[in-house]
Amino acid sequence: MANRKHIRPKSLLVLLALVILPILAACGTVDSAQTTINPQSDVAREIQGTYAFIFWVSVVVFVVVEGALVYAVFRYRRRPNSGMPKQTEGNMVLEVTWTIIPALILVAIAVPTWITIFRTDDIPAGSYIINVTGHQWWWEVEYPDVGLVTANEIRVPSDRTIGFHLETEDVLHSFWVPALFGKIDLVPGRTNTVWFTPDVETEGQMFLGQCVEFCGLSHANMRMRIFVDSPDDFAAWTAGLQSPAPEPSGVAATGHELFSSKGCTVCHSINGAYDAAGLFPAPNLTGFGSRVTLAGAIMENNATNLTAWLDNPEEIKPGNIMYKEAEAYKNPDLALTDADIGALVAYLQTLQ
Amino acid sequence: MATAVGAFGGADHAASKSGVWSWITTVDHKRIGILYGVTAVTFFLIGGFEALLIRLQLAEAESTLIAAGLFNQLFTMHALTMIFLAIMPLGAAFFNFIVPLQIGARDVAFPRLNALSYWLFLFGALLLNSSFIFGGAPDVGWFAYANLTALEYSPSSAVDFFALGMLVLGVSSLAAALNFIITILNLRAPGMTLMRMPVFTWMTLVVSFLLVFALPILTVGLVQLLFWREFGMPFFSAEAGADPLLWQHIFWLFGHPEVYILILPAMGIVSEILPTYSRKPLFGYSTVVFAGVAIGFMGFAVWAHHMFTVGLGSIALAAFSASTMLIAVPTGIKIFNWIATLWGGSIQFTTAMLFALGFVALFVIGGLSGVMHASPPVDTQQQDTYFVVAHLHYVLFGGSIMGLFGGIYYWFPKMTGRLLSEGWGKLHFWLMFIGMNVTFGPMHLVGIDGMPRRINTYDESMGWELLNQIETVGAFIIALSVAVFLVNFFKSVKSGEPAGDDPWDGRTLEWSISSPPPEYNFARIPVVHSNEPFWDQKHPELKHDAPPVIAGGADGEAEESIHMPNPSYWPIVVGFGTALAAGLVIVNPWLASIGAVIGLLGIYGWVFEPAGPEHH
Ligand code: HEC
Ligand SMILES: [Cu+2]
Ligand SMILES: [Cu+2]
Repeated sequence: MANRKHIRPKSLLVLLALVILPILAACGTVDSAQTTINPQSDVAREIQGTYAFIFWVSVVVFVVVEGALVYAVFRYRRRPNSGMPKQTEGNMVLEVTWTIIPALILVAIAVPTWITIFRTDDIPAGSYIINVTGHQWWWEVEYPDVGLVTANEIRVPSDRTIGFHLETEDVLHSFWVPALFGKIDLVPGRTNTVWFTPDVETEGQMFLGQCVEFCGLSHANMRMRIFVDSPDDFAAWTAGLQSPAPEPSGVAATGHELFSSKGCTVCHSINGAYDAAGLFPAPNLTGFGSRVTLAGAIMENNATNLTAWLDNPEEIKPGNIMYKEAEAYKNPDLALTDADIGALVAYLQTLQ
Repeated sequence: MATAVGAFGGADHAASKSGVWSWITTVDHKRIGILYGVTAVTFFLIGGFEALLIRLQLAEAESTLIAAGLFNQLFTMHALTMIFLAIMPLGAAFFNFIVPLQIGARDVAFPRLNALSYWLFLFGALLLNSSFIFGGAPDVGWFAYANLTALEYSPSSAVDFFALGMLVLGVSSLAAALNFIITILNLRAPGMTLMRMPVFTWMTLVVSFLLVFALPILTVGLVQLLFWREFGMPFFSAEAGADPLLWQHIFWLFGHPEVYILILPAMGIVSEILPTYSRKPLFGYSTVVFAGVAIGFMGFAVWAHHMFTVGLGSIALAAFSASTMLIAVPTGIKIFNWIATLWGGSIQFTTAMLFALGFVALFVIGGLSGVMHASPPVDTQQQDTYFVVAHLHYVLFGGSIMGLFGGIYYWFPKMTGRLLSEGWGKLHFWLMFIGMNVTFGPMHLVGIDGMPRRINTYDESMGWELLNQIETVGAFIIALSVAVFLVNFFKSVKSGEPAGDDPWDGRTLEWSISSPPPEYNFARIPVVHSNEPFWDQKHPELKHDAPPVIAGGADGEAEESIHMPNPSYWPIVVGFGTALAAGLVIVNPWLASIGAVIGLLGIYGWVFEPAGPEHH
């Protein structure tokens, strides 16, 4: 009997260790693809600093409190010769102490928190502004200074502070690329903002993000990427998009015709700015061929995936507006044959 | 001990009543408590089953096991079920069964209203779940943020089922809360001042007040939501100039107190269990009580911490982070006082005690991760990720569920007269404790790795798969532990060891009467002189100022005539009519009048029900 009593508190100890260790291991997951603790910008680093401080304070509190608990459980377990314990009802000094100490710890946490809040609140003057609009389930990205509109992939110059103006066309979404900035929601009727300055080393790198406010059926399929380009690459990219797409030839020319005849232009515009006349908001396909990903950045932009997407968008992205509303999927007369899809793919890939 | 028993309770049981009809018409708080408990555990199993499906889907990257639409229903219903149909009613089960016993009362203040609360809860729960059959369950998250709930984005009836089901459940909880406030304030035994009430009763009182203040807020929001959808009144529509954030304010002004509604009962239970098995009084009784009250009140001043990423502005962020961190102070006080209760005690590791200790150990983790996202900048990296899922499950599973299971092991003997098996119980505890950490521990990591909540699929390249697989294994360990509990429960109900009146050397009044208690609970209403009256009576030698013997003498005889309320079937009629009316609103508002008529007839019958002959 006495033996069994020995085992339990110890196994409790082991189990607690099992809980502590993974939490500590959290420090080691900086390499994962969308990690929140490997900041690559001024704002993200500011946040991470606050988090790291609170984290380590918490670890200390955790060890002290759980240690006291485990110690008490172990030390005061009932033994055969345990008599009636002293009926202590309380101790004012002790209780005041463990009211004041946590209060002080919290003040210590609150101060850096407030500093970070105010240091990261408004977009600094002179930032490079990009407008982002959330849609079920993709991101529209507008560069007002050059009059360009694109989707899901955001290219930014490495030498500027980037400020985002965020709005939503339909429901709530949340804009988040953890390596660069914390999330901010897109709320109907409001323009929210977030900003960051990329670290120098990030030039040429790509960062993952995704929508983190539940926004309906395909919420999981609303992802995005930010590419930090050198100033030259960025200028070349905007210039490329501003110049008209090459005249398609061969199959691509057929695809170009199909793009109008199958009703794609009802929603999608190509070349230049967003065509406000579109019946439904849809990704602007200017330079689509040079995008790395497809359909809310959920898959690589290659012929196979593009074919699959045009063949059955619903299967890839349940509920998406294109499948629901495009004549090509609703109207059997306009249905896409395999050959049509081949031609459309060829055409879309020429949009560099 | 026999004398002590005689002091409060008569040994004679009321003529036992059985049969389905007796349960349908019961107004006995103990039987209603059992109904609540059994129903809550049933829904706990359903909510758990939903969780297992979610875990199966996420165990594999890019899994196609469960379609997105069903997945969204599952996570929404898992939350609604666990919060409103499992944890809250399990708390209500204990309020019902235990509180009148702890305060030396014969029943609650309004026994028929109490029955109505239960039936409304049952029918509301059925209404909410019937949506699975009628076109799909709610799939907009348990918080149902506007404007995803607009007709335009949620054209099916799922959101209506959500709103109407929650309205019915809200009426149920509100009626129960008022009943308990009035019971606790008015029916306490002579001498039991507020500061002599057992902590569990105190927490029941606090929770009841929270419900009374918080539920109307939700009700307003739900009615607005319904009017928006049914009659086009654009309360939350940005196009019409309204602000969808209004819903979030309303929802969390209810929703944060709701968190305390879920945790305080468990805190109350733990505050009963720890002293009993340490054989020491609760350390700093009044501090623990005041801390509980403080948590309850401060709970109304922190709602916007659920909205740190909506663009509140820096001043609001700073203010709400401060108020949120402040709540950690009374919470910390409770934890330290519990540890101090153990300190110097004589700790007995019963299953109930293990659950209580598990509660403290796990709740500390949930509390600390909570302080992390109390910091708005940190929250911008954690909100809506699995880190928050980990946090809330350490609080609600590690906290509420562990505490409530502790309560089951602790009071089961009082409720049934039999002990739950300690062997099976300990197996249950360890499997659940391990399973819970294996499931929710890695969620911290995968959240830090940037995995969002409420996604049905993720890319393999994200590196989240292994942790998700571990979590799924953990979920099945929890399921196994629940199976062990069920075996234990059914075995023990039938053939468990007889418990006797006071199996744990208890400290509060419920242990002074027989197990299960007679219908009238106390043959003579006890007179109370301290906050641990039964303990003090059993151990007068431990007190400097030996307390007077409690009731009217050791051989307390039953009072001449004890008036007990008669059974009534009107509560179930009113409950059914109300839920039916709510359900029919979805089909056609005019049809709802059928339910309304049934409900009104029920009220009519109720009002004119003859008091009937007194019986003993
Ligand atoms: C009813 C409006 C509509 C019509 C018509 C329509 N689309 Fe789309 N399309 C969309 C929307 C909306 C999306 C974004 C879907 C998503 O990611 O959720 C989209 C996405 C795409 C994409 C991926 C874009 C990206 O940024 O990754 C391609 C390519 C595409 N559509 C091609 C076509 C073609 C070809 C046609 C004609 C057969 C067509 N669309 C017709 C609305 C439409
Ligand atoms: Cu989303
Ligand atoms: Cu909260």
